[in-house]
Amino acid sequence: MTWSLGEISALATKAARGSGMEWGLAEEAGYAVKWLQRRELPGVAALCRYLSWRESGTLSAWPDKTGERGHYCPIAIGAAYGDGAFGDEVQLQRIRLPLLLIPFVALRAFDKSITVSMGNAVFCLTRDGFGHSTNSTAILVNSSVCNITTKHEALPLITSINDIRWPRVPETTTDCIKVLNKFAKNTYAPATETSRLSGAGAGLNDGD
Amino acid sequence: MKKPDMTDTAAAHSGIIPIVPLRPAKQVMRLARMGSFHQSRLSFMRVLLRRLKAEKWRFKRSRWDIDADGVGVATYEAIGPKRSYTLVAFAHDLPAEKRSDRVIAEAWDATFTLHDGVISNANIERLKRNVPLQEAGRILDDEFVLSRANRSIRLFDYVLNCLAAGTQPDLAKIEPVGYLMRTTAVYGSGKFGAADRDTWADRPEFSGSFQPELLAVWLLRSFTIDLVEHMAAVNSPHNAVKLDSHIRRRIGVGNSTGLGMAPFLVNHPSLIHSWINARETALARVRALKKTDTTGLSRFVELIAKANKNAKKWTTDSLDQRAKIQKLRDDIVQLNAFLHTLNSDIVKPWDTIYRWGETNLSLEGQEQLVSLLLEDHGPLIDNLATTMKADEEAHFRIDGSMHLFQLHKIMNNVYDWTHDIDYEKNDAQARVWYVSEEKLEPRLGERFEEPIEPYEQPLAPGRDAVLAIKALDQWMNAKTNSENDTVAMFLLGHPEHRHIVRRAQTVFVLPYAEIQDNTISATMQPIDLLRCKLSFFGASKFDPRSDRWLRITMYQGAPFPDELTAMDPDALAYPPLISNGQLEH
Repeated sequence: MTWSLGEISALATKAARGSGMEWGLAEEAGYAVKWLQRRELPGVAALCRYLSWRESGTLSAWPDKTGERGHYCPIAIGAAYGDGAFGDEVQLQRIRLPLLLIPFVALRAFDKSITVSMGNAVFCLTRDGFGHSTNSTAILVNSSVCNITTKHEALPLITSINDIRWPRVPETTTDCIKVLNKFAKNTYAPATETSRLSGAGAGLNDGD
Repeated sequence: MKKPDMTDTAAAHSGIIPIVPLRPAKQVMRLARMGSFHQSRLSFMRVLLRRLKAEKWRFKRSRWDIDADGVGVATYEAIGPKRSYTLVAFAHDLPAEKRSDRVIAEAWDATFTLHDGVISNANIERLKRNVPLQEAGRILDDEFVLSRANRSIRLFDYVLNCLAAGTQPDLAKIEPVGYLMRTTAVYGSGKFGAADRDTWADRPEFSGSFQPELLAVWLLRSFTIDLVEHMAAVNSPHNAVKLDSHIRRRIGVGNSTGLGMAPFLVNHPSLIHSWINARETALARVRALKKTDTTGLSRFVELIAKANKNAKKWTTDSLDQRAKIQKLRDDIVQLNAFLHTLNSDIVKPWDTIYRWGETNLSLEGQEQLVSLLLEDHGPLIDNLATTMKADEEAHFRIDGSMHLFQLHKIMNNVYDWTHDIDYEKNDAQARVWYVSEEKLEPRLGERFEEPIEPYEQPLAPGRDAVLAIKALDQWMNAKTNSENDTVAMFLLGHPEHRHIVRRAQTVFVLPYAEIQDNTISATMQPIDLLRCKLSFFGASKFDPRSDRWLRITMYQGAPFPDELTAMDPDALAYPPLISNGQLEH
């Protein structure tokens, strides 16, 4: 079984909302996961890991309270970077699942190329292209410092987004999708007999 | 960020026609008016049929494996200049007690999918395991649409028995219902595994909105006819007849639509802007025409007579809608009388008629008039159909560099209609839009009577704007802050306003993107949202069954695939007259 990007983006939004994000940030989570999966990068797995990690902790407010040993939320910080809250070049400490930061950095790569180093992985982003180091473990690192620069050193091969056909979200994401569905469920109101009838507005006899 | 000029810029640049300003959003984007919209020649069903005819698409029933009980599979191919599509229809034996239009149903009389290309036997077998399950099954990116339909209890067996007895059904019985089968959902755009819209959005045949979905519905209309004729022939092999083509054409496809569709208009602001903007631009172009002639005016009079016939055939049990229809009928009589006072040489005739309508007609009548004014001006307006789409991602990014005083000004501007609403009052926020766990569908609940507020969906832009403006005031009045702080800084501290700030920036440049009414008030009527959307689809015979679901008819009167070459679908958008130009009583 494979999934469409539209389905997965909607699910990511609901899952993020279901884990407590404000709607506007949850929409950014949907954007980020779709951006990554469009490039066949593991956005679903990254969000699944991040929301699961966050659930196991004591954090309750967005963006995350970082404290001395805490972490930053890649969605909240990513959105802020995309908005321009920081300069183009910035070093961000302790970003959780930094892969989720990349789609927001891409928003500012429209008139320049930007390089992101996170642990052992390097990403390079241009207006319509992207490239990254090939180590998949490094890409999906749980936490690292992120260096965002406009300097170009030993760049990975850049692929144009225009050269990639629309992919499906593959079968291998099934377990992660189950986790996202579990979070998404928090946004659904349990049904009652009253809501079954009045919520949708139909009576018992609706055929004709 | 520059506010757009509310004129038809294409027309202005062409210099061909003078400019009439577009009707302002504060006039158009009100629920009462949107809930009075009628189908027009820019409606998506009509856009589709015009294209299929112009491009000489061919159609064939490529498979008919339906047994004597009406169970099996049938396929219908639509063959275009470059690509083909196949509607795959599964017919089921559904016990009467399981027949329900509700989205919570689990079985249907027929289920459908639209497949990309000519279908193989292997794909039919794959789809047979999934399509009948609908939401519980999965389709692939070779499929664009998933749908299902139930037989009309009022009509299916009646028509079947007539045909089996060798007689034609009575048009007087067909007309008020208008369909043999009623779809209860038509899913597209990536739903349940279907292809993402982006994968086919650049195909010219699907330019605009909802074209694959409406192609599927048009093809499944043929299936409903074939099925009833097949079963009549099985029941009575020697006597059965086929439907007379004139009667057949008065049979469309029903649709039963509830709250699942209602949030769409709020959730797709840039798309809705494109729809309304095209329709308003079309109206402005027609109103700007300097003159007509005797023929133009008499054709309009004839059109009014057809609209009158249409209004007379429009029946509903809804008391509210009945009252609206009665006003519409009265409006048409008045309009007809007014037209007979006009000379064909008046300056800007259509603008004169429109402005008279704005003063003298009900909202139902005014919006019918808008659709009628567009009807005879295809060459002037049909090209707007291709603009009725949106790159929604293009408006997703927030302009974080905007200064807060600018955002404050924008929000007070685009949400000025909230100044008349006191959100402190319970009635102003009586409702909550939520999604039910049971069927994952949008629902509407009572905020102060049910424990549903924690599940609220972001479908109350007016209230959210008021809250955000208050937060902006506080931010800018704080001593440590400045009105020159940026949106990015504000949102870092206030992620709870991110959704509405994104929206406000979109609405500022796309004025028809926002409904200027309170979507959570105690008096809000969800069917207004449904009707607006369905009118853009091209639906007619709006039949509200409560304040939150309704039945409609699609393609009633339209040509069938075997008639498309010989007939003009636009000429059939209103019922034909017995005698030209006279109001029928």
